[in-house]
Amino acid sequence: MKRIIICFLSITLLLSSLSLSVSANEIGDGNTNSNEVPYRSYSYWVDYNTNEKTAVYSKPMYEAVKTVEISKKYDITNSKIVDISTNDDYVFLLDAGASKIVILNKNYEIVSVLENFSYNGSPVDFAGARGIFVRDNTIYVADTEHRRVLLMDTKGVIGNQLLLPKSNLIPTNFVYKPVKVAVDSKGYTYIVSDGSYYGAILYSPEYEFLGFFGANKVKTTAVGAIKNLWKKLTSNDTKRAADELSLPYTFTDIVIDNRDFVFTATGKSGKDLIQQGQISKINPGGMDILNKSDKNFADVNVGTLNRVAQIQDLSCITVDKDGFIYALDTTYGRIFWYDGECNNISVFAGSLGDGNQKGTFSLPSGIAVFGTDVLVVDAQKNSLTVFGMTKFGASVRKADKLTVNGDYKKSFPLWKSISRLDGNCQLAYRGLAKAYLEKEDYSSAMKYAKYGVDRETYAEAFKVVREQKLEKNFALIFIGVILIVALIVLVPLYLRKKQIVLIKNQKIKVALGGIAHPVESFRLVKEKGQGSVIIAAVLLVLLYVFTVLKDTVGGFAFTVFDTNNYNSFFVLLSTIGLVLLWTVSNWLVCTLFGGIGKIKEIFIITCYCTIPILISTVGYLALSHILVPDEGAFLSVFQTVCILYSAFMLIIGMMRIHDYEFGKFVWTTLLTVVVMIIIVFLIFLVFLLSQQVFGWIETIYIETIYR
Amino acid sequence: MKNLLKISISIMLCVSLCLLSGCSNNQKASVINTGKYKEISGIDCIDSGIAYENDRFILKWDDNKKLVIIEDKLTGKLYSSTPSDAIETKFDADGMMIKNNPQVDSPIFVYYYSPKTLTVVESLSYVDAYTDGGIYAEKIKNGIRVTYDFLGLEISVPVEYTVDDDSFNATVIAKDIKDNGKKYVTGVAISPFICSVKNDAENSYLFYPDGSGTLLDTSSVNLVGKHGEMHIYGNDATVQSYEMQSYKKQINMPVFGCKNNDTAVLGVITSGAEQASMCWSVGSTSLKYSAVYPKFLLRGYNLVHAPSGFAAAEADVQTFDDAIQVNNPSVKYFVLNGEDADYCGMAKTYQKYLVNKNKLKKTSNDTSLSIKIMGGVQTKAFSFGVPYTKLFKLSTVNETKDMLSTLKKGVKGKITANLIGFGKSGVNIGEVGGGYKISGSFGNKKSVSELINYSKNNNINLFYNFDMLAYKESGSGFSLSKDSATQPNGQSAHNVTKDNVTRKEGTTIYRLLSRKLLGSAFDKAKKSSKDYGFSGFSIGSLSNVIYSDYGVNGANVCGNMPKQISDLIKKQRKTGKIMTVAGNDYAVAMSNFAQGIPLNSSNLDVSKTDIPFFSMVFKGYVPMSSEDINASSNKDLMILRCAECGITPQYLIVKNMDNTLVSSDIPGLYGASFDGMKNEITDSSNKLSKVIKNTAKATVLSHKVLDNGLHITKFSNNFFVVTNETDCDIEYSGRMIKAKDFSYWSEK
Repeated sequence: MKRIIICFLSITLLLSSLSLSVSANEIGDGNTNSNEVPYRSYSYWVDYNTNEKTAVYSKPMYEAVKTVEISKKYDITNSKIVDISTNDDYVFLLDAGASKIVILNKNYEIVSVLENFSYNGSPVDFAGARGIFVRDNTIYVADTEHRRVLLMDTKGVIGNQLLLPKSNLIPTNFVYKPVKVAVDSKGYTYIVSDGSYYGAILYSPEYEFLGFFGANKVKTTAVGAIKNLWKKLTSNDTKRAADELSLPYTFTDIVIDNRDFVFTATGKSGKDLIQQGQISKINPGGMDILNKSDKNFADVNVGTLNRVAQIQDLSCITVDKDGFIYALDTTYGRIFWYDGECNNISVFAGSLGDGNQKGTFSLPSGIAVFGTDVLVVDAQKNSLTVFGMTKFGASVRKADKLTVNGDYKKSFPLWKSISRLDGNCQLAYRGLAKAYLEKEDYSSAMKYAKYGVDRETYAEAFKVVREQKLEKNFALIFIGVILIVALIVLVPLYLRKKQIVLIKNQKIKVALGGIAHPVESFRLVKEKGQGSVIIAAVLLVLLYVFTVLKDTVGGFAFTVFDTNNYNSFFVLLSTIGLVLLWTVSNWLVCTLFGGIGKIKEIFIITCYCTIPILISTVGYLALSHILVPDEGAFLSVFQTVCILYSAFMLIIGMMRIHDYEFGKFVWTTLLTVVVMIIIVFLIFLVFLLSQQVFGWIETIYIETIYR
Repeated sequence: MKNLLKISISIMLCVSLCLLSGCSNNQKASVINTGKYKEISGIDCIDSGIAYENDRFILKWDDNKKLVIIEDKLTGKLYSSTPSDAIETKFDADGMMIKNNPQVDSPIFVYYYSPKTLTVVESLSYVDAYTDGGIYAEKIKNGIRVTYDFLGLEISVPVEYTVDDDSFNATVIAKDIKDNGKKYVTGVAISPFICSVKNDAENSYLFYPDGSGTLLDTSSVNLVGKHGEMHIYGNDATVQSYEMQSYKKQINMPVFGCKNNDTAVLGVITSGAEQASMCWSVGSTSLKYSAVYPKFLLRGYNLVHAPSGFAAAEADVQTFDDAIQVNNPSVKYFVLNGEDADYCGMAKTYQKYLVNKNKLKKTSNDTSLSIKIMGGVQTKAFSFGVPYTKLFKLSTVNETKDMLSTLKKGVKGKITANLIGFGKSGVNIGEVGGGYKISGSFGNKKSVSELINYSKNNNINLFYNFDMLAYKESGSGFSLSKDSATQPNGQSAHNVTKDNVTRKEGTTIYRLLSRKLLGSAFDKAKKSSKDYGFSGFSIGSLSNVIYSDYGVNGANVCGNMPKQISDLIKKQRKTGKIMTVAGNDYAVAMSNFAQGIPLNSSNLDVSKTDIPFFSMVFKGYVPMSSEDINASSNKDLMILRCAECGITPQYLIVKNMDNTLVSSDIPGLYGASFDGMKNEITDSSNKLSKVIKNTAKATVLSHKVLDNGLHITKFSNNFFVVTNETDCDIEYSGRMIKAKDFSYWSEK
């Protein structure tokens, strides 16, 4: 038996430590490359495995339909197209190199070029400007280098300019360098100034300065708070002078939707390769109602250029009339398309590289929407790239809009067709799940919710299915429950009356009796030698097996199983490994401090003490298939009670076998934990050293076989 | 103690010797290094004048400008490495000489490795040879040999210019290239401006063979213009590239061309295409000319990561092989006049060239629908928490039969199917050829036999795909450690998979089968295919990937790969059928069926319009099908492009999908579910069936892209197809061609 257990454990340990990888490749025959676009479209699944986001290939929703090379179309030598804005009929391009505005019609043909500007009789030049915005036939140019915002009509006649307002609210050291400007439907003007961490400068419709609007917040963490406290306690003038202030990051772009909500992009903030909270949606009160400061709106992995990792920079943003958000990562030239609820619909365009294909960029600098077309300007190529929606993209857009508006019935056929065309569309599965839920087809709703990893909809459907099953089989279930209760009550009475003993093996009796009578059971283990190593080992193995089962085949609503990263080796360490470590450490410590427990007894008692945890694991496994997350609190309480009871049993057991009082038990236990840490440290040390030795041997081996 | 010390020292010495012995390139084939440079002497230089003449051309040498000039007797027009209108010296209004850009006056560009900067540097013959008086010409048979001596660099490169009955040639004599061993030659570009047009010239364009083929926009851009290059036949798979790049179509044909009003030049790389990149340089106001030209790599390389401070910046630097590829890179230029002076004429000329070279015969395309059926893909699974690799069955053998049966009922015409990934590792890299057998997971022998019988009885061409290029396990008679291709440094070419979406490098290390064992791999595929009873077999990636093997003589810098594959297919097709997938022209030309031919280009910024050059060349000779329509972003456009040249539509299908596959790094799987698109497949096939039937035996006679967006194709049997890729209905020749639709008719 011992051998079997050892073999089983060894094999499990070996297999679980294997790192398996499965991968196809561009070179393999599974590769298909019939895309007409120079990039692969993809989208992000949320909550797939344990990952916040998982990138998956998707059917292209946008394709580059046209590239307009502006400098080719009109004779300008120092052209530099840096920003773009649209109204219902025209596209406006800001040429910051030549100080001109290029206007294109719906067919993306140049209809006019505004140039030779003047204001109050003086010529005006806005070379170096970085932002353009158009509303109601007024063009706003954020003239960065000349520190003003110019207001002109569509003929190029400048009627006004917004300079740095005079107000007590403006700090004395404030540098006014407008980079982006936006105006809402009521005429309020929002100006983003380069380097301003106070938020956007807000003007009234009468161009009176109203204050700063919607600044980013500095993220505070527990570690940061402790650091700040420490600084305050230990700081002196020299240290304070050398300190870097934690200031909020400045906006890099600003747009306003149909309902006058302000959307901002924060772009690259800090040196982290992966950024967070790049997009905000600010209400008129200045509050970020998107509240996604921890969400990374860009890619989850970084690419390299010349082997140097590139920091993502989601610095440009635009919103269409239906509230869909398009954000441009200017480092990678990729466009991230989100719906109003921040569900990622698609990622398309660009890539790192030479940018010499239609749909790729060298220096993307601005984004806008024009109908359903997405327009991107490239300041290096001096081009405008028009991304047109594919038929598939249009279907997804329509279906998503219906779903966001709660019209699941109309969205149903669309999602059905979308799921057929693109099996990787999570939104389709989620949309179908919601539609089926509304149609009261709960089993289909559960099926699609499971496909789309939508635990909320799954739980809603499951709840109804469970109720239906209960209703349908109420009589049977009721009788069953009565029978079980009766059995639980009557069988022991009957057995006692007839003096029938079900479990005749005394050692098993002692092991199981530990739950109800720990003191007595552990006394028998210690004094009568009625503990069994085999039973203890079996209990431990069962704990490991059920923990793995709980992790892998628990109810969908409760279990998040990460197929990519799950490794039962860690479960093995946290169950069997932990018990063995505790046993050895406790024995080492207690031997020195007068403990009379033997290592075998410590192991047996510790394993017996895991019975409540085993029961809770089995219970969790079963109940997770019956309960919904709303009722999950019961499971948590159940688990906590079981763990506490195990701890209680362990206290009694350890005191009993070592013949300790409570006080001595406490400090020997503390010492045991310290020893456990030391042993783990030593194991790691040995592991690292042996890894290096094996690495060296492996290198030699590889060098030898490669030659 | 002394003995122990002696024994220890002896053991250490032995170990050291063993290890050091590994540093030698003991697997390396015999190599030829570049000769040692010495100043040119003893050449019997010729003077200006006619060097050779035949019925069609006169080859002249201009000793003053050191230029080779070819005159077409039919038109009297001149062709040279300098554009004809730039040969004559011109003066401005002040009497000052107008100088050409040195690039325009350079017959060759030489690329050499600079040990100072650890980079490859370009040198122009005008700057480094002509101005120092280092260009020498001597007479040879049919032409002249010009030696360009880059005196300052101590590099000399001989080029032979010869004339044939219908063309003229420029050939670099690789074995006679000399350098000083420090600054060594890595590549050479010959006659960059033979195929050039003046910027903004009307009725002129450049033809670039990217994907299906494309015409380049040659209007002026700025002083620098736009430049770029793409490897012909794809990148060398032996060189692991670490950078993520955008997706480009492959150059499948070693051709390029230009049209200048009523004349055109088609360049065909007749030797060394596998070593070449096709360069474009357009719109430069400094050069005044736009051009396409080939650049030949003569020396193979590894990419080695140099940390910051070692090179100018942290980067992958090329470490070059000692040996050079001794195939003489050669380009043949065909001069086309009159009606033939356009891309249709170029396609016909190249078709004629291939027909003569490969003895191609006209073949009818009777396939209405082409299908790729994927068998399995490896996924990670767990048993009691223990991870293991599981083969996810995308389509079993029985399901494949059912799918074919469903399609057969709906499709009017013949079906050609290719089974991919039915080996034990599915579509993932495993053993060579996927173990050369269908894994039992997909079905037993009986079900395979039933599938094959069903196919035979129902006139379905059933091919089985063998991936014989990449492998990561020993098996099927091929060893992982001994039978893989090697890099210039003698190491096995071991590459790592990477996922361009997640940008993660995978952990699957794979190798490429040694070039010397490809014949054996083919034989095994043939035997396996024959044993099963398939109509033939598909060679998958071997039809579209080229790679070097520095352990095989002549296989450095991808040398002779086209010939090797072409010969292997030729040999195999004597007794069976061969299918290529997204194949290069050398493979397609010899195959019985070509799946996945390109219908569009890479959408380069400089591209003006796509043309179906590839289809035009092979139509009527090799039955072809498109790329996977269901994996494209615009299937309507793909259908139109199929109709344009009578190409069979192709779909990738699988029977089973699961959301465990969503994170699979196999692109295209998401849209391959058969149940979701069986009607679409039959509809598309039936929509195109009449065009395919009517053009089954025909070749393309002419093709035009009109200004209004219509594409008009005339086939050799007077069958016309007009496709409308625009969003509005357009009338043509009394017929209304609906938007995103096509029309066809026959004229007597």
